[in-house]
Amino acid sequence: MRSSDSAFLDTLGVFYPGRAPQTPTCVYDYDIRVYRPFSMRRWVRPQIQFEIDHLHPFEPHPAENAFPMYEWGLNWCIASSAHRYLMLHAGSVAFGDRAMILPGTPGSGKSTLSAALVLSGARLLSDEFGLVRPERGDLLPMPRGIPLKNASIEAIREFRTDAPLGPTYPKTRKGRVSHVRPDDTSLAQQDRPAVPRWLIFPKYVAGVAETLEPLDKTDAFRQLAFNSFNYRLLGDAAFNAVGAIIRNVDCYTFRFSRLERAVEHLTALVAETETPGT
Amino acid sequence: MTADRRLWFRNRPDCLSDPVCEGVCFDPATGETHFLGDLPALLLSVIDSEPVSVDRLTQRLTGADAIADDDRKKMIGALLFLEAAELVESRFE
Amino acid sequence: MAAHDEKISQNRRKLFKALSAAPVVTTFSSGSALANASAHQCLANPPVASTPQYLEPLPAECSDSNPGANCMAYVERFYWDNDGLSGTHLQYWNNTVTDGRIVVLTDETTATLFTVNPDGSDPDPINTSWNYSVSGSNLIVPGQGGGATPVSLPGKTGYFLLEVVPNADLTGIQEAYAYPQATQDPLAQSCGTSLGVTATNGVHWVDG
Repeated sequence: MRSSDSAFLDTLGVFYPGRAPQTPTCVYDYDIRVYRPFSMRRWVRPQIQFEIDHLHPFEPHPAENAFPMYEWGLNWCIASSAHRYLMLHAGSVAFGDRAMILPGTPGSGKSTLSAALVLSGARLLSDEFGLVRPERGDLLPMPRGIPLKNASIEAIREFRTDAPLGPTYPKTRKGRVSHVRPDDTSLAQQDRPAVPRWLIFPKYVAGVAETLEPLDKTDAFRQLAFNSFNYRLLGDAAFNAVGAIIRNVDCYTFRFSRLERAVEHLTALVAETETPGT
Repeated sequence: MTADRRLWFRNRPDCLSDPVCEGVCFDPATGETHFLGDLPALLLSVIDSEPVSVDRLTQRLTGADAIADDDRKKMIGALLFLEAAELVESRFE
Repeated sequence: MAAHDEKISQNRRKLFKALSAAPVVTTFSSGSALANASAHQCLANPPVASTPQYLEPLPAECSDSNPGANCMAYVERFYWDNDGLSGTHLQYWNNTVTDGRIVVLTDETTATLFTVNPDGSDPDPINTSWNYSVSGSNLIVPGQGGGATPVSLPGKTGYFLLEVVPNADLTGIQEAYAYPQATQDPLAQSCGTSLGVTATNGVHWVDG
């Protein structure tokens, strides 16, 4: 990861402390450069360019959105190359070595819920991508900033006034965006995989009472496969991996509106599962 | 019904079934995952590479030679669904 | 022999139970199979293969004065029937603006198989089955961007395509156009139609 943009590097340092070495000492997965292209735009409405392995897959973004663009670009890198893993469109957190998978579409509240769980002591495995090793069925951590959009930013600020939020980017392609920095424990344990134990399909519905309902396993299979980026690509490996997850987890749908209550429900579920004899 | 005179078979590797999720199967021949209702799943379980009639399938399933006409029509309907999904093939007797 | 008889008996019970249910078969295609699947071939090579199909009219923000790169469209494909949505089958195509029109479904042999937006923003399945609803025999496609008017599609068995365009300042999704796509046989995914270009209240109907 290289960049000449000092403001961007400062933000990167907050979210990935000590993880942006300037001197290559090992084999890298991606060679990324974030820089201001040399053109008239350098002075008038400056832009920033994302380069991956000397390619430019995207149009330049406004320079002030360098960090969100980097995060989205990194998503693109992973989604387009990490096909040795089953990629789930899901947030995932861990309680000890047991993972809770929260698949969902934009607006379902999965990122906000994941952030709230992490701020309440869960370990962040990943947001947006759940990376499953098909041969083992476990989830690999990839703790990165959790992007919150629009009203979710205030929701998290209200949930925890001391939430470690990065800068707010007021005008991105997703609206207002701010990232929750992963906690030190999650970062320190990013080499510690977790085994799926709960599969929860969250749905934020304004004003609704929190409701956790068991989900039929076949429906869960269908929905999890649907929420996998590369299910079709991996063929039988994905079929077996999704089946293995479904066999080993309790499946639920979860409608929620209040983060405090939502976290109470889910942590109670974890405690209940962990109680011997249940 | 012309489908009534067809012989049904599957001349490909077996589908992979999920042991927990009933009716969910992966077809290695096409790379597709299917979600089968009870009747198509049951029929698929007794279809193999030998082309057989609906009556023979009924016998494999129930031990009896025939079933009621309405039930027979449902079976043929399900077989047509399976054929459309490229899970089984058919040819005329 | 006893085991065989027990199996027969078990099958008989299963059969009588199964006969009372609809013979549902829904399919979730895999990527490796997709390239050879008839549906993909149909979409990649529409019936009039040499003539590109266009979305017209373009939303106002997608004009020649607004660079194509800022006016990307996304296409989703879903399977639905009059009983509701089932067997959702999702695919995206990366479209471009050419001569003031968005080209759709042509030369898509390299169609992206994952759901990261082509502009590099985070993975963003625009909508999924549970965001749609069925009212009577109509399929209701929700308006995008929180406030757009839902689109109602008269009952029709088959696939539909959903095209979504960012709004002018790229701060969100502004419009959703739905393109019902009839098929001769949804399960076999054989294609028997092409995208039409007649627009009525944002809904582009299907020829064939």
